[in-house]
This record gives sequence, C-alpha cells and structure tokens, in this order.
Amino acid sequence: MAEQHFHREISELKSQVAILGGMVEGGIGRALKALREGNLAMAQEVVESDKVIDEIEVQIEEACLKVLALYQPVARDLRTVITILKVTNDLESMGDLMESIANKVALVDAENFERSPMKLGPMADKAMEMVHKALDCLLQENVRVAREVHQLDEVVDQYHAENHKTVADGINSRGDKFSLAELKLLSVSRALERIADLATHIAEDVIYLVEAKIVRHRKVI
Amino acid sequence: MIRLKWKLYPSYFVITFAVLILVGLLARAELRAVYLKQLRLDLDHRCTSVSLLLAHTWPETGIYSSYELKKLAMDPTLRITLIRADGVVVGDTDKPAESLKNHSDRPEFIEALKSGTGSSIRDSASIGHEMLYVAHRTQDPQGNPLVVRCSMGMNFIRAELRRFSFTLLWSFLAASILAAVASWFVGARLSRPIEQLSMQAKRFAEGNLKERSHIGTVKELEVLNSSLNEMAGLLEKRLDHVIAQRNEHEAVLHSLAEGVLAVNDRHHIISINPSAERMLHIVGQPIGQPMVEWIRNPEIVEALDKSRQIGAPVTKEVLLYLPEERVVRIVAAPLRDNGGKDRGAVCVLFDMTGMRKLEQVRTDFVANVSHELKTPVTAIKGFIETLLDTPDLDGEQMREFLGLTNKHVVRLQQIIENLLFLSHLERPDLDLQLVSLDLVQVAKRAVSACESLAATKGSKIQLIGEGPAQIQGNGALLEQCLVNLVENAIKYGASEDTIELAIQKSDNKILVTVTDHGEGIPREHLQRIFERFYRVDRARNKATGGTGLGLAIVKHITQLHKGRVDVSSEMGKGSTFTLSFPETNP
Ligand SMILES: Nc1ncnc2c1ncn2[C@@H]1O[C@H](COP(=O)(O)OP(=O)(O)OP(=O)(O)O)[C@@H](O)[C@H]1O
Ligand SMILES: [Mg+2]
Repeated sequence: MAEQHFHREISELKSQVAILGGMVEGGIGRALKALREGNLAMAQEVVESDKVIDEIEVQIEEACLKVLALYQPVARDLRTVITILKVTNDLESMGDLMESIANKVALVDAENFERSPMKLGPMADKAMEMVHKALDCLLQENVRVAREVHQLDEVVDQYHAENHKTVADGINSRGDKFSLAELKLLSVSRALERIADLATHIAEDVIYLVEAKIVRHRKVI
Repeated sequence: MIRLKWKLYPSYFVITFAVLILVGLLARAELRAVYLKQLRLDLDHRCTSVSLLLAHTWPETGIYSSYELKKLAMDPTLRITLIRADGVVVGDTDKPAESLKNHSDRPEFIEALKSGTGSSIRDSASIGHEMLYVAHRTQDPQGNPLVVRCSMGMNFIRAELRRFSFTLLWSFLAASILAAVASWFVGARLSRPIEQLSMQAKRFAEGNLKERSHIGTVKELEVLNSSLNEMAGLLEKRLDHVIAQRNEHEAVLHSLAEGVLAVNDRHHIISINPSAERMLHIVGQPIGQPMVEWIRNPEIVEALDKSRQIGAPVTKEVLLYLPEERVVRIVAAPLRDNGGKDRGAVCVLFDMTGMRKLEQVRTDFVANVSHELKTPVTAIKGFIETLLDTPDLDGEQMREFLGLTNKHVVRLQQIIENLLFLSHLERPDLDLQLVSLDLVQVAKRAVSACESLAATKGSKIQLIGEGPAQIQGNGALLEQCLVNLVENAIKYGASEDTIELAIQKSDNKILVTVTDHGEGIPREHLQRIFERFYRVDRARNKATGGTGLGLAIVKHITQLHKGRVDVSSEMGKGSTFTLSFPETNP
C-alpha cells in the first residue's frame, strides 16, 4: 500500500520536474530568440518566467522532503528522490542563466548579435540540444542519451573557448574600437557554457540513478 | 477433468453390475427352489418306502435301534425318525431313540398328524445345521398312528449355490472388462471429433482464422463444426475490414504533414504521428508514457488541459526550438466517446514556419515596391512644385525640368511595366504557348534589339551560334530574357566591350552564355542579384536607371522553360550568365 502511494508520489514529482524542465527549456529558447531579434518584450517575458520557475523549484523541493520524511525510502527509491532534488536545483540554476541571457537583450542589438564573429548560433543550438536530451534521459531513465549529453559538453566547452579567444584577439587588435556589445555577448557564451554544464550534471545524475555510480568529474564514462 | 472416453465407463460399469446382480439373484433363487423341490420329492418317496417296510421289520420292543433303521434307509446322509402320535420318538438313524426328547412340537409332525403329510426347513436342534424335514402319517403293525419322518441336510444346496455365485462373479469381472473396452471405443469415437472441434476453436482463438476443419462422423457435431467455420469466416472478414480500416487511418495519420498527438484521460500519449514527432523532437517510443515526460512544452500541455476542461477546441501559437526554431500553431480538442465521456484530448500541430517566412517575404516585397516607387514620385513631385512656384522660368530651364521629370516618369513606367510583367509571369493559369523554336534565331533578334544601346557605349555584340538549337519555348519571352542579359552586359560591362552571346549544346542541354568584361559582381551578391529590386550598388545604379527587376524576370522565364540560370563572375575581369535548357529533338 505504502509502496503504491510512494510510487504515485514519485511519478507526480517527475511530472512536476518535467513541467519545470519544459519551462526552463522553452525559456532558454525564447531568451536566445529575443537576443537574436532584439525582442525586448519577449526578453521581459522570460525574466518574468524565472520567478515562476523559482516557485516551482521550492514546491518540488518541499514535496521531495515530505516524501523523504513520510516514506523513508531506501536504495533505488532513495536515489530517485535525491536525483529529483538535485535536478530541480540544476534546473533552477539554468533558469537564472536564462534570465541573465534575457537581461542582455536590452544591452545588445540584434545587429550586434548577427555580426558578431563569435559562433553563438551553433553553440546555442548545441546547448539547447543538451538541455533537451538531459531532460529526455532523466524522464525516460535512458543512460544512452545521458552519455550523449556528456559527450556534447565538450563541444560546447570548445565553442566557449573559441569565443573567448575571438574576443581576446579582437581586443588586442582593435583596442578601443572594440564594441562593448562583444563583451556582453561573451557573457552570453559563458551562460551557455554553464547551462551545458548543468545539463551534463543532470545526465550524470541519471547515470548515478540507474547505475548507482557517481560519474561526476570523470572524463570517460 | 475426465476425458470423455472415461466418463462413459462408470455408467457402463453400473449397468453391467446391476444386470448381473439381478440375473444372478433371480437365477440363484430359482436354482434353490429347483433343488428344494427335488429334495422334497426324494424325501417323500423315502417316507413312503419306509412306511411300507415298517410292517416287516417292526421289532418286539416297539423301539427301533439306530442300526436297524439305517439298514432301512440304505443312505448314510438320510435321517429317519419314527415318532409316535404322542410325540415319543421310537426310532432314529442318528441317535438312540431314548436320548431324544418328545417331538410333539415339531411343525412337520403336527402337520403330518393333521393332514397326512408335512414338511419344514429349519436348523435341526439335534444335528446342528439346516435340514429339510418331510413327515408322513402311517400306522404301526398294531394299527396305532405313527409318523415317519425323513430328513436330509441342505448344505449341499448351499455349496451348489456358492459355486454358482463364484461363476457369477467371474462373469461379472469379464463383463466389466468388456464394458471398459466398449466404453473406450465408443468414447474415442465420440471424443475424436469433439477434440478436433476444440482444436479448431483453439486455432481460431489464437487468431488463425484461415484454416477450416471437416468432421463427417456425427451429425450434431458436423452442424456445430460448420457453424464454427461460418463464424470464423465472418470474424475473418470483419477483422480484415477492421485491420484495413485501421491501416488506412494509420497511413493517413502517418502521411499527414500536420502533427497529430492524442493523449488519454490520464495524460498518457496514445497516438502520435511522425510529423508531430519531428516537430516536437521526440526520439523513442512515447506511446503509453506520460505526456509531460516527452512533450515538455508547457503551452502544449496547458492547451490540452484547457480544451478538456472547457470541452471546446483551444488554438494557440507556440514556439519550438528543436531541432530548429519553429512556429507551430496548435489546435487542441477534447476527445469524447459516444457517451460523451472524457477520453483525453487530441492536438493538431501546424508548422507555420514556412508560412511566416512567406509572409515576411511578402511584407518585404511590399516595402520594397513602395520604396522604389516613392523615389521617382518624390522627384516628380519636387519638379512639378518647382515649376508651379517659379512662373518666370524661361523656355530653356523649363525644358530641362520637364526633361528630368520625364526621366523619372519613364523610370516609374518601367518599374510598373516590369512588375506587371513579373506578375503576369507568375500567374498560375499562364498559357505559355510553347512551340518548337531555334534559340539561335531568338538570339539574333535579341542582338538586333540591343544594337542601338550597345552603340551608345561603343560596344559590340558577338553571336557565337552552333544552330539550330531546338527547344520548346515561347519566342517573345525568351527574347525578352536574352535582351535583359545582354542589356546588363552592355550597361555593366566595360566601354567598347565585346559582349559574347554563345549558344552551345552539351548532353541534351542547350547552354546560352552571355559574357562581358566589366568589373564583375562581388561574391556575396552573386546569389542575391536574382531577387526583385536587388542591385549591387544602389547609388551607382540610380544613375544607370535600372529597376533591379531584369534578372528576376530572367529567372522567372528560364524556370517557366524548365531551365536554370547561373552566374559566375571574377572581379575586374567580367561576368558570365549561363542559361541551360533541356533540348528537344527537332
Ligand atoms: N553583367 C553584369 N555585370 C555586373 N553587374 C551586373 C551584371 N548584370 C547584373 N548586374 C548587377 O545585378 C543587378 C540586378 O540586375 P537587374 O538586371 O536585375 O537590374 P537592373 O539592371 O538594375 O535593372 P533593369 O534590368 O530592370 O533595368 C544590377 O543592378 C547590377 O548591379
Ligand atoms: Mg538589368
């Protein structure tokens, strides 16, 4: 009986995480779109949505604690609840990064974005793919997808390193004439890199959940 | 569960048993009666013969010794007793007469005294087992009444009867075995078709409706069998129908460009087509899984929820980001069964991305047209206002102003004519009136049309033709197309240039190339110059008076002729435009 109740609670929690994930995923997408198009209204919407994300995060956390206290799960059940807690946290951080991207819209013109020598477009695509896959692997408990996320992380890291170098070179060669927008865009690149890291965390948590081994900070998994 | 063949056996057994017991008991009773009758008759005769012999052997004492009586009996199993009317025994073959008690109470004695003869069956008090007694009334030599009683043990009858019972038992055993065999055979004959039938029914249940069985032995079973077959046929037909229908529905869903997604009342995905999977970037097997875990877009989830709540369709436009950004219009509607019960919801997804782009192109175009038209109109307006405001213009100045105005009017006219021409080319019901024609002839006409323009720049046009180059085409349109290219070559080529217009054939294609030796077109503009109003250098082109529509017209006309247009250019050396058309055999 208790078993059944517990599993119902868990699937309820998972649905909530899915909703939270959907909001974060969509929010990041909209933040990037707003940046591409210089759409201030959309950026504002994204900033607003971060508040909702924070609220949901608190709700999920409370529900997790309730489940822990009520059912005192062990072994895999315990890992599930812990994973949900961690993932919720990661998603909340992603929400903050999404907000910070949206905040850049007011500071950077669409034209700046288009003409920037940084490879932000493909980088954003990859980061988005990682977030999507991380949520997929979490909700479907699919280790294979989780490993794909882990591999993509390196690609995004590389993009960020390249972007960093591009900006540094630009400052060196052009000096004062270098636009401030580039620096703002570099922080977008950093946010994307952080988002990719968080997605990787989620994927690692899934591997931990399914295989009960902690893979964080390991190169080959 | 007992098999049919064994089900029959108990009844067979019971019947055999009952019949044998009944017959045996009857036969046994009859047998006993026959034996008894025989014995009684025998004893009757003995009594008579003893009575006759008495007169000759009557002893003095009036009492027989056992020995003497035994001599009379001549049979050791026969017992003879002589009893006086007062019941006193006067002789007995088995015991001395004096030792026997008074026999007046014996039933056969009483009966014999009364009626002459008597008999009875009982356990003898003196001998110890069942005996038959027969008594006769007679007289002793003195004329006193005397009863002669002969008796014999009945144990031989019992032995006979027991023997008979044994025989009966053996025959019963034999009969029950026979019954078993018989029931087995009958059962098998009955159960084989039933088993066949049940096998058949099992096959049907497993879904193998193709096979038909035949059972010819039992009428009732055959009827059952044929109705079973009939049912299978009907089922098969209906199933085929249902499957075909389902396949059709699935094929329709499958090939729809619109995405279709259905969820049940518990928000689990019950159906999703490939288009929806593509739009929502779903990889895997989402059927039967919770929707939120696969479609995390909050707006879609919300729309489905809302449509179920309000029981009416909900339309919404959502943005999807993977695999690329898409604008998707969703229409969510509640799913109701015939009874109106909530069964979930269905969502149709229309990909509006292409449409949005098209709308963008359209607004761009309108903006472009307005812009292009505005420039000459503003200029004309300016000139006219100047003319109106300064009445004291002399003839020379007036002519100059009017000349400038005229230039802009001409340009306006050109733009409008070209636009009309383009929209004429775009008409879906445009009748091309294709005829077989020689491109070299068309090129000749185009060259002569451009000659005067070429002369203004001192350029020459060289026609290099390997005629006849036959294609299916509209002469006037093709001429216009070539004129546009050659005009461009003159306008944007070098002064005193030699423009080459070449017509060649290469594997079933006819290539028309127009080459100039001007300053060329920058690489990044190469693909865009075929767009409407697109000019490489807007400022410079204002002077040359181009509308930016010439190459758009060229592209349209070649496409109408199933051809294609390419451009290659090298900065400082010149440009080459190439048209290629499929050749038709003359
Ligand atoms: N042979 C060429 N050499 C260099 N540039 C060219 C050549 N042909 C076309 N172009 C460039 O492509 C642009 C578009 O050409 P298009 O024929 O469509 O318009 P146009 O010549 O400006 O106007 P119109 O043909 O209607 O008078 C031109 O403005 C010119 O900049
Ligand atoms: Mg032209």
